Amino acid sequence: MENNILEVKDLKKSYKEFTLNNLSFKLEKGYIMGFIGPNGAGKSTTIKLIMNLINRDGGEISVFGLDNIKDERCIKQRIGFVYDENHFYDELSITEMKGIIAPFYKGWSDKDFERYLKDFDLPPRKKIKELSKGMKTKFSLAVALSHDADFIIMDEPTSGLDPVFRSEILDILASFIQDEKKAVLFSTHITTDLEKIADYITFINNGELVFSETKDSILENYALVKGGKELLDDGVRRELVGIRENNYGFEAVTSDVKKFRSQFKGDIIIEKPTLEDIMLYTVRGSKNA
Amino acid sequence: MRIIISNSSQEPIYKQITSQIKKMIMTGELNPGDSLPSIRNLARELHISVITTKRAFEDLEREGLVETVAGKGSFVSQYNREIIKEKKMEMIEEKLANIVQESKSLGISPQVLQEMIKLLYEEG
Amino acid sequence: MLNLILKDLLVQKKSFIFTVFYSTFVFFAFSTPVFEQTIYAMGTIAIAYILILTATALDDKNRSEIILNSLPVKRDSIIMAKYLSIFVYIVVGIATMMVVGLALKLLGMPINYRLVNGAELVAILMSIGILCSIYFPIYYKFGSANVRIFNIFLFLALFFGPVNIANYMKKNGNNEFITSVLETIRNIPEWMIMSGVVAIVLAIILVSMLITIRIYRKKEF
Repeated sequence: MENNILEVKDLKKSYKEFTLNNLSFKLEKGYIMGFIGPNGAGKSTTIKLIMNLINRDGGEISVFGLDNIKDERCIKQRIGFVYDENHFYDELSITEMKGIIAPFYKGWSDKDFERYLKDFDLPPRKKIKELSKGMKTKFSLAVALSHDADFIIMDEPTSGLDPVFRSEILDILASFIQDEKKAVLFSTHITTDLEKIADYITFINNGELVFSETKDSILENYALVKGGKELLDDGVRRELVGIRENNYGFEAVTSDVKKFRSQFKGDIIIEKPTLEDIMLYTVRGSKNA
Repeated sequence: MRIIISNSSQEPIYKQITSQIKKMIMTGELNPGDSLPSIRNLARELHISVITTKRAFEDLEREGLVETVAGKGSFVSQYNREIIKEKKMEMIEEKLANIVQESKSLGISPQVLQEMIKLLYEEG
Repeated sequence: MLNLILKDLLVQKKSFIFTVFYSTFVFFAFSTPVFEQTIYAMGTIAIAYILILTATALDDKNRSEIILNSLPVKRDSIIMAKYLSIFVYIVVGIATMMVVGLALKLLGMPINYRLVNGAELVAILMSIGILCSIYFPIYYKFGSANVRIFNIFLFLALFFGPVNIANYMKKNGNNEFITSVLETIRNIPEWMIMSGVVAIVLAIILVSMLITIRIYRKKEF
């Protein structure tokens, strides 16, 4: 039995201004992965490659243990997707759009779909162009959840969603993975409450993988470090990422807090970081380098 | 059963779970044989990651407080009270050893120390 | 695939109101003896081609190729559906002309109501078939912005092309080659010419479809 819902290996894609370079990570079934990185890091490119919307220049992608190009149709039966922008037909109503999509899926359930419409407060007869951005995302999510998918892929799903619904999504996604056979991958460039339920975090920057690990181990190994500027000798600098110096001191992030603690003896503040801290300092570090 | 997670606490979330469940076992709020929520269910309810919850349960299992039966879920272990008491005793012994050591270095006699402990007991 | 064709019809529900107005206009503007033999073909060709263009324009505007290609459907099927829809739109065009014509007739308008004739059918298939066979590969290769310029040229060519060819043939009426070609054509029975034309048009559509499929397989969204 295949344990990985998604496996990306040495994935490559080159554009004039941007290269996705040998990206590798995997996602086991039963878990939720947050795919983070600044705008333009390559998150959407990666998702488009998984969905085979663009052609890869190298590497492999397998979904449910199947090749994402060779077994494309079979895989897509089992994927629910939510994109950051609306690509449904503006001219149609929710029900009409559903009528177009539903016949493509073997596992489509009108009952589920109607339940989600009700839960999400989506009026079935409303035209897509009359929906707010948040409602469009909700509609997209309702479609993704109504065909018995095993893998939900969401590209920047939280943009345009209010905090109340974001919290609802946490419940929906957590319920989705209750049976241990399904998985969720969502990308985001701002860290939100969605990360609360993420089991794994894959962080890319400039088309390169920074890390792909359990969220717990990342938050345990990374730390926010603050102190006076006089402490910043070469040895300390080497252990830090994205150092920000101001007139009164410095702030930075270390990726190995244990090592940093054992090597560094002095007056320094070591704090638990947020994912946003880690992302911010790492991106800054790569820009300065 | 009550578990409260603080996102602003410096204590990791899995430790917050283990310490709260431990406390419930010790105070008798949870009894041997009581079933615990499933890992995934707890994660969903608390809006935290499955892996975090899993880790908390694994720690509790390692300490012998919780048993997990495949397909049936997790339960409070049968002999946990004894285990906890034993553990607590060990901890107290250890602390007392420290106190004795320090008392010796300050030249405090065992009688004085006993008197101090007695007073503290009565106060509490 | 049927579903994809239905989708194209559904997204442009509003266009059908336009087709009714357009066909009414055609009946009034061209109900003269000169156009008596071609009025149904003229109406149908315009209606069908406009509907086909609108369908792709709406795909492009909504960037819905992204949704279509995320669904469990082969890229080849998406293109095949587009080509099959050519015939659907021809039927829609003819039906609109017939229904509107009948309605106008029943309302007592002075129009010439009859069934679409065989020559018209062939002309419709030929015009729409060739237009689409040129349009689709270019649309899928270069996108809708570039195809707009091309469409203007295509329309101009279709408007002035036949006239110029006819003029050229008149001027060079004595040219041996042309006379012999015309002579040969005159000697072939009409049904044979018609089925020949139909066969050639179908072949062109098929080749165009294969080219578009190749283009679409490599396309990035």
